[in-house]
Amino acid sequence: MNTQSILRVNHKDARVAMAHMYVAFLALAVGGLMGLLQVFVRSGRFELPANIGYYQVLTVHGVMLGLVLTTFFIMGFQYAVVSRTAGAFSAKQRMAAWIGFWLMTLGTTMAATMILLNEATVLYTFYAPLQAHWIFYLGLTFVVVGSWLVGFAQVARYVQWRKANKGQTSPLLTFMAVVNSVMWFVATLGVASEVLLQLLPWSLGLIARVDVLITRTLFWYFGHALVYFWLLPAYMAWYAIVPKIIGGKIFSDSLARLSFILFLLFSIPVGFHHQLTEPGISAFWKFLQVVLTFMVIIPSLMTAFSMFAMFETRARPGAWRKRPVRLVP
Amino acid sequence: MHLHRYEKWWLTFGTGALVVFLVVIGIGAFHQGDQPPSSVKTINYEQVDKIAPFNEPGLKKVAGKEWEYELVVVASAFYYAPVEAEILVGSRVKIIATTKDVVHGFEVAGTNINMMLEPGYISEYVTTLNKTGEFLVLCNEYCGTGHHTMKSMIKLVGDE
Repeated sequence: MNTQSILRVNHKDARVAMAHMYVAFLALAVGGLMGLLQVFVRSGRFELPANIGYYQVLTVHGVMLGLVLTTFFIMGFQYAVVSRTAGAFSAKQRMAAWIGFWLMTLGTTMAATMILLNEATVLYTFYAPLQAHWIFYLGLTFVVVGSWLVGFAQVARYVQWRKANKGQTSPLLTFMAVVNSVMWFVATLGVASEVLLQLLPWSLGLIARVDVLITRTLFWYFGHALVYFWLLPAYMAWYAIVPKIIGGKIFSDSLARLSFILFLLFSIPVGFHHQLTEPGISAFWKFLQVVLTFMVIIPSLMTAFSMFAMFETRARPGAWRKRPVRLVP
Repeated sequence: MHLHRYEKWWLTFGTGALVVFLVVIGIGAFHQGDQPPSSVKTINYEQVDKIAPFNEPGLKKVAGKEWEYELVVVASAFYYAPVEAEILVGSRVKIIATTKDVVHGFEVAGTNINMMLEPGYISEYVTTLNKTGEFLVLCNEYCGTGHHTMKSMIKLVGDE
């Protein structure tokens, strides 16, 4: 087996993807360790040294695992699959991705430093009016803006492919990565406007107070779609990579694309279901968004059906002879 | 797009289940009146201590309303006022609560009372408390370093 034929990601693109992975797994190590420390503290037999607080450790845990690990891993993964299926990125696109990566890394460092200095013990949801140091908010802004650049590079590569291959169906994984990036752009508009228009000016003392309900509503407009943003890379692997590994065939390419479009649409109007016990939203709007939240059942069931159908058709007698397992697709 | 027969059945089943679930929730919410606390009332959170009824937190017996008691609660880091309330079991109670500083939770363990308290908003919930005993009220939204110590108690007592 030739290693080169497996690693058919352009080596310059592979460096971008791997840079994301290193930060992602460093965040996993740090965030995981903090989770372990929480258990020790809660056991009552362990005390954190140097006056470090329990909630400080909890904040590191949440920010590292919920925001840093996920964003870096997903952006790196998608960058690699776009390069692999649509072809190598152009120098300009790759430069945008590198700038995005370093901006995200800088932002992570800023936020992490403030948490370690106990200036941002606000958990990863940073609900106002708990207030963090402005550097924490600015750091999170850099993480989001950096991720936009990496996402833009993927969209640009997709557009370039479409122009070069008029009238043809785009590579499935590239299409999926682009849908997930678009979902990320739409979702992060909420948290970006929360941080840039409210929390950052407020932490700098430029405005006296913020409306708590608006900040929370913007946060969850982002926060729920965030969960789909975490989910879809797994679906990419299920739809497009698993069939190759088991030597099977995707059940339906267009069904897979439709389910991704539905996830994108249904990720938008559902944030209120994280705010059901809040006083400021009327029961009717809560109900309406609960109904819209349930719509996610449709693409989820489509995916479940596709997976079982794909395994079933692969396992039928005769299928093995026709399509022997090829580990190298 | 070609859809396989099984796939159509599956999608019909899935969508049908979805409709059933949503109708059940809708009937519960709008016919039975099982709705989450959604008063949509606002308050100046910097003046809570001066504004009625929050200037006098505690349990009050009321007459001529759909409920017999009103429990007025003011939350602030990291305690509730009042610290304890004793209510006659089986009473219909309206809980009226707000916060003076950050976001707090108001969950009464073992009952279906669970509200977010947000600065600038008044949380209200009407319920009948049918079980005797002591029910722990706790803050379920992180509010600062003393969050885990923030609690109070509702005692439901018999008629003797």
